[in-house]
Amino acid sequence: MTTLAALALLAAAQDPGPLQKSLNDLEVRGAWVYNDPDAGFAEAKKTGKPLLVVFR
Amino acid sequence: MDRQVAGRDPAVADLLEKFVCVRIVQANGMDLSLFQFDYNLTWAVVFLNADRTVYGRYGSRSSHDPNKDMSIESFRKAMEGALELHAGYPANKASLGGKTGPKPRHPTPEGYPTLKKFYTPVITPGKPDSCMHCHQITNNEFRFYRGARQPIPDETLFDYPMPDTLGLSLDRNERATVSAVAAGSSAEKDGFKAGDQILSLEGQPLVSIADVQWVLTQAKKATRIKAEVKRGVAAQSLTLSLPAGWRRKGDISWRGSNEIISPIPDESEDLPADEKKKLGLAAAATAIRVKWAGRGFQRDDVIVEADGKRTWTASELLAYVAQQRMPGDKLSLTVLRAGKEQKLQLTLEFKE
Repeated sequence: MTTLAALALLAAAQDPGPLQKSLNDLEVRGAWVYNDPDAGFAEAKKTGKPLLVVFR
Repeated sequence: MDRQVAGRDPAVADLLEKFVCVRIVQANGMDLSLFQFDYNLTWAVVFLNADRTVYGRYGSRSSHDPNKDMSIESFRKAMEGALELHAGYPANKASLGGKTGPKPRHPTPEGYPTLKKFYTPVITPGKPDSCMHCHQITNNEFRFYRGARQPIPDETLFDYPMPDTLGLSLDRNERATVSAVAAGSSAEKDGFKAGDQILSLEGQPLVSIADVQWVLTQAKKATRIKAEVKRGVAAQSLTLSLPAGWRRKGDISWRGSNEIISPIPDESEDLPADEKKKLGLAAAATAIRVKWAGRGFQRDDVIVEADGKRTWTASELLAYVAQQRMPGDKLSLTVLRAGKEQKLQLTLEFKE
């Protein structure tokens, strides 16, 4: 996962993508990595932050 | 909870900024070696390091009310706990080893034959039916045993037991603080007291009630587990005994996966004592209100007898069907319908 790709995913979380729209999951605010745990791990490795993974 | 967390409610927004937040909306393709939690929950959280070490879990449920055992206050405290563990990592790594479970039956849900038939590892946008739900993983653990005509073991049927099964009630607004100890319980005999903060079990640091449940669910054959508690300012070492049959004291009647076991419609539940009294039933009598019509039931039927016994709770009846009755067997029931008793005979099915 490149930095650009990870950033794209974070941006996508703020601009609902087709999956998010189809599930009517539209109350998500701020930087969420949407439905891609591998991208989340890559971002955590890059930033040094821990992960908080929500299953809904 | 989900709306507050997803929407970055001010009660937790500052702490969410300290995490990489990931939102998973499907079970398709899920790494079952890594993401192990109570799959019957409608909302759950796992805290991890980037190297996939698990710091803890959040999300608990013990009844038909999904919010009874959770609060935004305790979620915030769990987040703080996970951040403390992250700050102490990797020096604390050895204490976290037990937070990852043994290898699952299948590496991903698609390893179960029924799920492989209907789902792919990736959800199809625009097709909500392609989205696998987490509880379907437990459904297929149940199918494994039902298909083999084997009793579902206690460890599977009563997974993620609440500490109440041992007499320990924990405060829903704290990480793992004892709010009450049941009189005569094993926990009382073990010396636990209201106000105790349980810091660790079996050496695993705890950030939530879900972390307590994790240790309990993994205690497959153990008869006692080690506990470190804080009482006032002093730390104490205690032992938590696990008496024979302890898991069976839990209530499994709320679990969606029961649809695999039981012909009784989902969400059917025990009537409270006052409603039993109105129907002229004793406090210990079976009285399970049926929530939905179907399979011979009408909505609001009250089951008062099953296979000749009139003292089942909904949870006990489910366990009986899961462990002592098999697909193809008959189940005889009596229901109260419009004030009159009526007999039903159901054939247990293997639900693919």
